Amino acid sequence: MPVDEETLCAAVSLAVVILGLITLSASRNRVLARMGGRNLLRRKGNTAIIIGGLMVGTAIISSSFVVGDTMDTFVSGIVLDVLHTTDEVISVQDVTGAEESFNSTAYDALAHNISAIPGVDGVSPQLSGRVAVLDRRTELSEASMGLFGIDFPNGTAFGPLRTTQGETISSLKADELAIASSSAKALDAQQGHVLTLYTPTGPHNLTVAAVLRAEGRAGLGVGIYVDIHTAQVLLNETGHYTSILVSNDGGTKGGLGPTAKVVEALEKVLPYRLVISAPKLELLAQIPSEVLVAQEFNGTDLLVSALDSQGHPTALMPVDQQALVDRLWASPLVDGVALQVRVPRLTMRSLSPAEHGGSVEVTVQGFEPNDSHALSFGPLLQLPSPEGPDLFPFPLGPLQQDQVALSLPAARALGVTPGEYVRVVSDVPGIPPRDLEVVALVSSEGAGSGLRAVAYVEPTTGQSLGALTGPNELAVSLLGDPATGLQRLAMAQFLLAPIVGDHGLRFYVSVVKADQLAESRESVSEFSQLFLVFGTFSIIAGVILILNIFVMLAEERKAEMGMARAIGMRRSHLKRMYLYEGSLYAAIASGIGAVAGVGIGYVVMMAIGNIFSASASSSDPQFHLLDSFTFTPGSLVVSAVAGMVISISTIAIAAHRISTLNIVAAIRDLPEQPPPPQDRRLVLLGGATALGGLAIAAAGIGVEQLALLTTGIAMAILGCALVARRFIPDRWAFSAAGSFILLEWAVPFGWWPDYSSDIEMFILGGLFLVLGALLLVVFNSRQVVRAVMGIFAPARRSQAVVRSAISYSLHSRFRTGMTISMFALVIFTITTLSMIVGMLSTNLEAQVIEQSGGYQIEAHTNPLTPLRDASTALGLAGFGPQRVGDLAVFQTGEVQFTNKRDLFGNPWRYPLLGVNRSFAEGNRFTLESHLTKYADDRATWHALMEEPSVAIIDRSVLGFEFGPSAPYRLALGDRVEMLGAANQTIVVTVIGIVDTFLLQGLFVQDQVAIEGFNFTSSSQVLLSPATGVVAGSLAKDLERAFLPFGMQVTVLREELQTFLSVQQQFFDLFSAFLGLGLIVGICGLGIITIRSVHERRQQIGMLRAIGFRRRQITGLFLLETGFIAVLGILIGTALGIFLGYQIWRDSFEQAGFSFVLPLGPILWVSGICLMMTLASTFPPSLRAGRVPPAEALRYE
Amino acid sequence: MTGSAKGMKRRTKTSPSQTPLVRLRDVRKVYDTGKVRIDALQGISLDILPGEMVMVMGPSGCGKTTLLNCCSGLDEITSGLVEVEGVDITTMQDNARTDYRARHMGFIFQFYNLLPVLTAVENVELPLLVAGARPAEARQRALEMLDQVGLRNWQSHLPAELSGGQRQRVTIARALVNSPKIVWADEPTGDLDTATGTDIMDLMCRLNRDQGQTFVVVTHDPEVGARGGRMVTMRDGAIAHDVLLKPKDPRHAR
Ligand SMILES: Nc1ncnc2c1ncn2[C@@H]1O[C@H](COP(=O)(O)OP(=O)(O)OP(=O)(O)O)[C@@H](O)[C@H]1O
Ligand SMILES: [Mg+2]
Repeated sequence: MPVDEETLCAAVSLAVVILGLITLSASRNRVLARMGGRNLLRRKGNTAIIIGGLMVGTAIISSSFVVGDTMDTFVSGIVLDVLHTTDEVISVQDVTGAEESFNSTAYDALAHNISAIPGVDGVSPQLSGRVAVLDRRTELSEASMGLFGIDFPNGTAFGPLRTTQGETISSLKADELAIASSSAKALDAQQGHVLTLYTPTGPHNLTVAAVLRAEGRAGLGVGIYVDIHTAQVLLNETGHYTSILVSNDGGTKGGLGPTAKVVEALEKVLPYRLVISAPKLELLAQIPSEVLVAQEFNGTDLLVSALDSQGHPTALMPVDQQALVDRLWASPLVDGVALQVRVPRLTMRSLSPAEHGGSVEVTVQGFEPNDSHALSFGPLLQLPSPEGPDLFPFPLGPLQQDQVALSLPAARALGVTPGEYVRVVSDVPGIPPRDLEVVALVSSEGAGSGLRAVAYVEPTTGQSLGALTGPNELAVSLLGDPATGLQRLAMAQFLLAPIVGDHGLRFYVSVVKADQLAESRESVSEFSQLFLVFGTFSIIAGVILILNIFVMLAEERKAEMGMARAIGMRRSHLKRMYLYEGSLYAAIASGIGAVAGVGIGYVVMMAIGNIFSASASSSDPQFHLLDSFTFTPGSLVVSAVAGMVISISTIAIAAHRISTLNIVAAIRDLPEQPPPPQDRRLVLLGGATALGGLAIAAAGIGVEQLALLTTGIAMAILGCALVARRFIPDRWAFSAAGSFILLEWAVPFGWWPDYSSDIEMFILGGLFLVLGALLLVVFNSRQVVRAVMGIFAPARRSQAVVRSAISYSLHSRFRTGMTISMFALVIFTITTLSMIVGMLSTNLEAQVIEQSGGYQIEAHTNPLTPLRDASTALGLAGFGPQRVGDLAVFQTGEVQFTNKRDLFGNPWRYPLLGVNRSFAEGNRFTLESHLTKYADDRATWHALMEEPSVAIIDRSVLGFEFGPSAPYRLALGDRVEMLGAANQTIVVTVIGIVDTFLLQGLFVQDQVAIEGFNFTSSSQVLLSPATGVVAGSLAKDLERAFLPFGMQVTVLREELQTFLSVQQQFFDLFSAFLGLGLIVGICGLGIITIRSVHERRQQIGMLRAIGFRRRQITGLFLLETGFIAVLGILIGTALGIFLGYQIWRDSFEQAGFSFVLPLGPILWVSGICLMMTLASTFPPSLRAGRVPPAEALRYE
Repeated sequence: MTGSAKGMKRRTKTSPSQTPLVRLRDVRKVYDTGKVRIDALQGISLDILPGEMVMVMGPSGCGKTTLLNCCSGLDEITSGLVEVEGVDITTMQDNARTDYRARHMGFIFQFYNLLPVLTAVENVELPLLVAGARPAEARQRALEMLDQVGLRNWQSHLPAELSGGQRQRVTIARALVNSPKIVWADEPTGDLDTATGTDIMDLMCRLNRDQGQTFVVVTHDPEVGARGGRMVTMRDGAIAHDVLLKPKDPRHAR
């Protein structure tokens, strides 16, 4: 995610403004500035640790930038390796939207025009597919490898094929192939080896003419390359291609530049595609009333629309207009055809000032009222008055330019009546907004719409709104009453498709390079943001450390400050002095921090690289993540500025706090007193906080953001506590607030409204849980101490030590509270992470069963070469009952849901799985949900075998909670219509949704698959090894035996284990990232100890005099920090377990997971943390013990 | 001053009937900072009897504090012998000496007597706790001692919330809480005004008279010095005079 220029400019100017203001103020207060500067130089050690603390934030931000930059370079590197100079790929879709191969003559007709487009420097056809491969010499095989047929004369623009010896291949013979480096490695294939390729036409032997370097066209290092004519033979596609590659001027990266222009020009060169759709069926999927749907569209049964290669409406060519009308009209099914202009998804807004000014999405329909074929669509009727009932409508007269008649839903949504004006805006660039006069409202009787927002205009107005040069659509009316027999529509759609389809090929341009780069950028930025999320806790820990150090600094300079105040310095002077000093620190620290972040980023990338390479299999291309190590000066600058802003704000807060210290109290070393409850300002502040919190919560409800809602509630609770302390003791007020905040986050997640929420909830949860716990602990410190003393019951002689140590830490509440929360936050996150990992890995078995339904092995063949009779085939190949235990064979094939469209409006193709009785009764897949009329999962599976009209579908149709949403949605109880093998409509109702991602498809009983769809072979089976057979070796043997079918076999447990171990390692990485903040915090504790030993020399001498042994003094100092650390660790662990439990309860429990408390890792982390704390405070504590009493007492 | 004031009697010998509580023989203390050598104590011999109230006086820098530190085992000596109750404390291990201090000695200094983070009563009971007393008993005893110094009502105040005189009284309570054999006080009134100082001295004299508590008090103030039963005057690391005083009627000090 390279930083864009605007962000960079904004960051730089922000830095200039902040530093400028501070410098300006400092130059006006020279004396203060000088004092601040001198303080900085006075104690080098302090300066170093402060800069260290301030660096944390910057370093973390900059390292996540570096991770982002590197991943970006890496991933876009892969995209560029794969695509090389290919910028656009043109492929052909059939009428239903599926890709298909096309005749080479179509390419010949287009090639010249495409290469003439300015900005295009290469056009080449390609034929690709997948094959199974066996190296005859090495006996190694791969079940699925990409096969690329290359058109050598034209292919040069798409990167050379270069052998490992560096020679460029300019042709391959019909029995030769070239193999890319990583693929060659997987097969151990070398030049001269004979490879058998298993394709739909059977096995073919080809000789390895060359092993290719990972560069040019074989940049990724995977795949087999042959001459395009060879590929046509191998894949049984003689005279066909699968795609046309287009390369833009400018080479690999530079090719992106002309993309937009080239795509625009391609649209003109490529014929448009025609799509035939059935609007009534689409609406029926949403409104299950045939009567309403029929009335809505009246006679319009089918639409034939022209779409350009980008999917936008485009005008029909005049020749086609006539030809299509004639051809459709000639069909015995059709009783009406009309040309129309229809522009979907325009935005319309009311122009009358009095109205609520809402906007509505309209479809603009331009029609020819006097079209001779149009009679069967019904007339457009006008309403006599807008308020009156929808009675006595009369025909709508002809419309003038810039006039519009609105459907009632559109008029209601906008609140407009005839005589008023509306503005129509298109989101397609280059089309100016247009103002129209509303002249009439259209009745839902006749052809008018009663359910949708539609605007009716005369055709030229419609054309200009859609930037069209003519009509873009044909409305088709079928014979028969519009209100009955919607079922025949799917059939008619199917039957008319060839008539429309004859029109030509439907070319589709994928802007592959630009799109894939944008996509990869998107996912990389999500990934690196994860680091920032986990880094946030470290940043907060760093901020807390800065606060601590500054307050300590101030305590040390108390006497000076008291004197300064005595001689007339104001609080604001002190504040400024600290601000100047701190800004200097911040400026230095952010510079160093940004650079340090590069180092951290390098280490992180090293770790990620290890994770990747550990989980990659041998046939994957080799990735060297660190080769892509990148950081851009822009992101360094932005992170430095971000870090500086964080630091300076922190310092400003610290300076404010210091300046408000009660000087007398400071000099006499009084404990920090809470402000008196009568303090008006605090009560006001409390009220304001409470109200602000409520406002934020309300806003959260308004925009449906859970983060705002929960934060608002927590703020309101805190505000109330501030007000309440006017009336009740602090202890009660804040203990109550703490408890309520804890309670707020203890609420099961499902109880909250279903608002949008993301990973930020995790951070907020952590912060507020810690805050709540801290309030409880700090305001009940005496009780906590008593409890601690009670639990640990120190030996009598140590009581004096324990008492003094704890008293010391409670004496400075602010410092202690801050330090505790720093520990708590980090330990909390690590604990939660390890609980999640622990539960996932401990419940591996449950997951394997949940995902695999009790089968241990999944195997699928190349869909083009399925197994005829899978169980017999397995038996004949030696996989009989002695080797294979449970076996589930599916009758597989692809079907099209005629009554469903995906979210992009494309027809929905889906795999169908015909299941047999033994699978239905024996599988252990759990159902996510099932119709309530079935008692349980078993009964639902049973019903599937009993009723041919029901189906179960996999859970991908529900969409995903996080991440991209599936392009299609389906719910329990939905009806799905499909066209059978004999053109009959087959309808099934979804009665259950199965909770697995392993099998994607619609499950029906095998009789339906075989008889209805004629699906008699299977491309997917599930099986378990017979007892005593090892899954791994069975899988290998299967893959080998069914190589000709391209069978790929997965052992599910291994797959899951790899997945989990990757997850575990990533969590470890995040924990390590978090640990960074902790380490700095711990070093800070060490420094604080050094300071306090120094400060308390005389007290140490006195204690020694009255009988404290050396070791007791050391113990006292160790205990003091240890107490803080232990309290922080305890709170963090408790809260982490608490959140882990919540996560289990909210999402794992129903999956049948057992609750796991991974005590090992938690204790380990806590232990290390404690040990590090003690280690950092041990040296100064030891020195405290060695202080000679006589001398210590002598010091003034 | 070589001449002794009226009413003072030169102390010539120790009464053989009483064994001394503290016995110093030819104690020498040399501070060697590397640059300079300072002979802070130049062969001091001194016996302190149980129940005595010994006042140590002398000009600044003559070695009073050093003497006190060496007698109490806070500081090491260069040569000589320091016996407390017949035991040579100079040869003791640091821990043993520390424990001995905890159990048998009390201390009062000019500054830094109390832990700022502990309340009055917690400060007072500290020596008992560190010597291993039971917490409840320690608290009981500490309260009794605070009662004796008249600060029972101030028990839960932090030192910062007390006046200088009150703090010094808390210190006395602490010094006496473990019923020490001897209390070492280094300028206990040095930081106080005369009236308060007199109060503190009254308290110590009363404890000495009524309970036979042994005190060794270093002071610059002749008024204070005059209230002891014996005055040791030092000069340049050696004892110049060692005289017994006629105990004064406390009322005359007013
Ligand atoms: N740690 C030390 N290092 C070097 N010299 C020291 C040290 N402690 C004391 N001295 C020196 O030893 C001598 C005696 O010091 P001591 O503190 O005993 O005097 P004092 O009589 O208590 O003086 P005052 O009345 O001012 O407290 C002084 O000359 C002092 O400078
Ligand atoms: Mg002295």
